Amino acid sequence: MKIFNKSLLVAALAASVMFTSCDEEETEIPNENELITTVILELYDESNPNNEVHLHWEDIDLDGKPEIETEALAANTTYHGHIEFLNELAEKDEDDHDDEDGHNHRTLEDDHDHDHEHDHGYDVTETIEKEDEDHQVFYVVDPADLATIEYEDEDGNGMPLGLEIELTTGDAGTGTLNIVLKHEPTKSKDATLETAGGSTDIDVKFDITVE
Amino acid sequence: MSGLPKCYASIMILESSQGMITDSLGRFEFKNICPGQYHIKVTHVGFTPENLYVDLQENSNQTISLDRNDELLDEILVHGETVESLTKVSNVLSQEKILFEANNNLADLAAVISGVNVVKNGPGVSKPVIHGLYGNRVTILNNGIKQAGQRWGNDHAPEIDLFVADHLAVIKGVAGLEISGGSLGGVLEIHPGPIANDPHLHGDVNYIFQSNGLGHTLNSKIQKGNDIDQWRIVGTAKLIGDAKAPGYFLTNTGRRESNFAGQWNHSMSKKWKINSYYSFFHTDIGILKGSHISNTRDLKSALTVKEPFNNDDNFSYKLESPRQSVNHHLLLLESNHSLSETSQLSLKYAGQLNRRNEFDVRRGGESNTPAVSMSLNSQYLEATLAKDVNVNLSYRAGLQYNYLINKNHNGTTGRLPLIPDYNSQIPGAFLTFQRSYLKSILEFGLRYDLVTQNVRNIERNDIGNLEVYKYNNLAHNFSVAAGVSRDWNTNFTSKLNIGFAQRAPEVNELYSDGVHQGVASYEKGDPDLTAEHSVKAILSNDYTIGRKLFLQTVFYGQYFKDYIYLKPANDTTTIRGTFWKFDYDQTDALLLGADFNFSYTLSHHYKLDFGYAHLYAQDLVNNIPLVFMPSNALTGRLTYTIDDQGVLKNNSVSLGGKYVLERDIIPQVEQEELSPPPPSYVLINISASTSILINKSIINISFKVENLLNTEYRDYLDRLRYFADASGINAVLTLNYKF
Repeated sequence: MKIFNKSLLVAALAASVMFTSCDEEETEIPNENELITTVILELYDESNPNNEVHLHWEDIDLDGKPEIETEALAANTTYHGHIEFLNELAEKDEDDHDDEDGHNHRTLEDDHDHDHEHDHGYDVTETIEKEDEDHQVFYVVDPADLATIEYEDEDGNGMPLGLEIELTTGDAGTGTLNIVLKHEPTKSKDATLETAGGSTDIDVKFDITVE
Repeated sequence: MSGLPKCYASIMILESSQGMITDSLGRFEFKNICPGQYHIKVTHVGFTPENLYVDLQENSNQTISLDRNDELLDEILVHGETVESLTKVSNVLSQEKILFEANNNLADLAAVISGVNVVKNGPGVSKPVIHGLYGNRVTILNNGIKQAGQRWGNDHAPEIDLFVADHLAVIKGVAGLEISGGSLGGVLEIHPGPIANDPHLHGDVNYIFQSNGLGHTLNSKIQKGNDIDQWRIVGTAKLIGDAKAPGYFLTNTGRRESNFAGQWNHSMSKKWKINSYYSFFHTDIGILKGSHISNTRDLKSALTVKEPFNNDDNFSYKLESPRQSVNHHLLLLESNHSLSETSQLSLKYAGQLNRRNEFDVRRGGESNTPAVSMSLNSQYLEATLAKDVNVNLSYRAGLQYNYLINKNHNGTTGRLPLIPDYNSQIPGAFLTFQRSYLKSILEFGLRYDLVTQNVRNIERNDIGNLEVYKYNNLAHNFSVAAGVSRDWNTNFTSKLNIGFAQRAPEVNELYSDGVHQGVASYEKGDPDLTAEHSVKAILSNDYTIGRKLFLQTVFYGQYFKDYIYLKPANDTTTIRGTFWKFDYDQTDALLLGADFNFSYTLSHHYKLDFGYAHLYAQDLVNNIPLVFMPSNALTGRLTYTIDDQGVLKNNSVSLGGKYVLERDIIPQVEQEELSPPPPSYVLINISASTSILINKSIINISFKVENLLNTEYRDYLDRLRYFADASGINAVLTLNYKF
């Protein structure tokens, strides 16, 4: 049995060496800075400053049941459009939990000392502007004659980006506006949602009325 | 080995190149040999070649034992121990075969055996499927230790260097009573093999080049041993670039591997031996660029294009996101002590540390920040007592304890983990009996495991904030198995194995929650799952006529109550659009299958092999075929052996083919209709090999071409099938230098 004891000792020794590295740590709650909870499309008629239209889509509790607000557009009118993507959870998470690993979460604010602070969360639009060659926003109106949309901006390679647009409405009617943000699409001047590939970061749909 | 003399084995003295064949009683005799030290190599069809070192000073008798091998001669695995299971149905691949396929992954290698398939995620990632089951249900034993990697994801390949294997065995029945975790689907065993008692330094140097992916693999193995100490060191490095499908490169499908293993066996006394083994495995694997999609709209686009999105026209070794980086450490300490002539006590400790990082294409310059980062620490202790009660009866009893700690490094990732942090303690015990009775061997065994899980899951509360929720689970796993093996006559052997096993749901099945990149699928666990129960019966018949004909049939049936599976569910809508959702669900299932192996030696020169595997898998509750089951497949090979040409020995050329049938499913949801199982396909391959004997060294050279006709195909169990064709033509040159 002496031998038996010795071998047990060897095993116990080895176990103690390996066990030292594995004391239970607490589960860390990640700061999900990549999420997008909110999409805001602001449209304004340059010839008539009183004519502003806001389309607002948000799902802050991420339960798949968004709150959508739309306003009616005027018929046969040209709007300038500006879109914003926000992560309204990012700031909330940071407030609730003291994050010791904060240095690991690289955000644009940290990198560039932007003073631009939204009062409602982290602005993903800036990241998209910075990585414009890897992103494109697609707009699909159904039925197509309800409104036409032109890109007003381009990326570093002269390809469409879609953060600034021009929207021209047709005659009165109702339909939908589908807004899709693609990450790493195959970009070209005539790329469509179907041919661009890449991965979808945002895919939201608004009911729109032109009157 | 059965202990029976082996007739017609070939025996060669390497120093003098003298060779002979044993007679019908298995005897051999070399006359008029000068005293001295000799290396002897013994080979026999169906057995692992045995290398022997003999110090010959006077006339002497040598008894040489051989281990069974060869996948076609389905047989028992024995390593000179009396209490190895004799009734389990297994298939074995020899070292030669492993080397011949060593450009592939471990799972691809095992898939040479009929009844074994792979689930893949492109050329770099594959895991074994045995009789239709995989993941949590297939246990991988490395050196007798259950591999503690992340087994739950289809994109998690086993972290094992196949060069450490002397041979590889697939056990198809419910044989795993000595293994915790109810191996309902079978076991894949990697055996490093014994180290010969030989005062000279021996070893192997292997180099493999493959044309597809311009891959280089370099491996070296050295070993030495005497009565007291034996050691072995194995090192491997692999560099493979983008694979090429017919027509285009599969951008970002390269991989790298660097592995090391060291083994030291020491005899403390005649009765007490200790073994130690350490291995380190590191791999970086690229996942096809074009598979970076998120929602079902992206998937639809990917399905309609001929060439994957974001594909590069040029070949590259570069690895970008999406990619994986995995480290795995294994430390094994073992003590074997003969308590008496008839009993042996073995104690084992095994520690494993698995570190996995997965990188996604991310915004904000975070592509080099892992999206999944987790470590799994496994601590394992075992005590086993083996006892021969008398010549006909023996038993083994064991106690085991396993402690698992799974930890996500969420602070780094900035993402919610796919599976939660957990600690799991699994104490277990088993008892097996073996009794021989006339021409039959009977086996019976039972096993019990207590499974505790302490889970810390991050969930979103009603107002969208994240909170940690704790779950403490407790489950009991019972299993029982019985087997009988009977030699009807010298040509005909039957084995029947019946087992019942119970498996408590694992953490991924209970709490998975998130989108798996690459398949646009949202996987959701179910905390209310109950244990699954299964009965499997497997009947194997081996029939031989001399050395000419061999026929093996394996029939099996497995019934599951509350089978846990990923069920295609209705879409789920998020801000990123609509996702194809899979829910962990339970049903009753029936798997019926058959594996056939047929081998016929037409003449001294020609040999013909056929294999066929068939599987019927039905969801009994919904009365539809089970999804994600392997396709039926037929393989064939004609080998022509060329007579020795001077220094060129063991020359052969062969032509092989594989016909994979289309899998039938009945689509239940839209996405299944969009991506039906791919059509059947045929792959042709050729190979040639030779051995050159120089002094005491052997150089083995083999050349093969896989997918000779550069066939465009997609495989049902390859996740890459949504995006691209599988790899095309691949020429592989293998050089092996043995000294």
